[in-house]
Amino acid sequence: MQPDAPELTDAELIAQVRAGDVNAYEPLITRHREQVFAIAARHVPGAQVAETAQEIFVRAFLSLSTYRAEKPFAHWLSRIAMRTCYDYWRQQKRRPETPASVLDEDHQEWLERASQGLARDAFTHETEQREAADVLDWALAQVSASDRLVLTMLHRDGHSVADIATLLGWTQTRVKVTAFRARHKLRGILAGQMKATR
Amino acid sequence: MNDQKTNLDQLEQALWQAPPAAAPSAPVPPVEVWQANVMRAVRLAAPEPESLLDLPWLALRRVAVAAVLMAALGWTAALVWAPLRDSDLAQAAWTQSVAETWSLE
Repeated sequence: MQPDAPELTDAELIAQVRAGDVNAYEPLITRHREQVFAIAARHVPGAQVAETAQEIFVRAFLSLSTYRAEKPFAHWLSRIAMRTCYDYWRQQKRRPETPASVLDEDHQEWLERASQGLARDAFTHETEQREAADVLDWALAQVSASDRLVLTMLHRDGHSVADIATLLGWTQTRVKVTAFRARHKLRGILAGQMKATR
Repeated sequence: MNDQKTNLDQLEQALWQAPPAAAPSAPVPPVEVWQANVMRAVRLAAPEPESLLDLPWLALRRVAVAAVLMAALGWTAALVWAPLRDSDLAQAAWTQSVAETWSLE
């Protein structure tokens, strides 16, 4: 592996890559891979993280000609990362053979307890954490890719509307409207499930 | 109704407070292996630079392809044109024969 060249800035390395030196891209990967892995880990299933991170770096490489140095490379890369995660879920939605996860009895019980306000203190327990994550995945699997992304960025990652708008290249109004509608949909799905369990 | 709303609020809050699903269900390759794979994919995706030495060959190849295409086009045109030309001749012969017939009468 080529050693990282700390004396060169991101902009200098990018200039070298643009000039045809593909190897100059490797220090950029080394520098930014943790950030890319962190984004992918939050937005795609665990089994897909490494593959998605690779896709992000290949896409970034192919789009380097569109990079403008006014903003930091890390920020530009985050946008590509979010877009790649969004595309992952869009592709998943298009595959009818993707099996929909189902909730078993433990999940139903967790839903019941959580709706009574009893589950919040129990997240230290590993099983409770997994059940909560499964229920959330199950509910998010039923909304569109854009709804899923906006909801997770807003409610789980704690991004502001302005941040999301910048990362996705949307207007703030579009983010707000999507978030409002997506939350409404998600509550409808959860309400339906709660009714079904009673 | 209010109870249902409160329950939903509590459920929603609990869901978003849950830490994201943790362990990946597939083995993650060591970072060096992963990075080598990325670089391989990047090299494959990189456009190949046309070296100066390749340029005459490339130009020659393009000229040869253009010549073959022109020849094919000319041949096709000739094939299409031949029956038309023949039919023009046949038409002229028929017109002449009609004219001769009428002039005889």
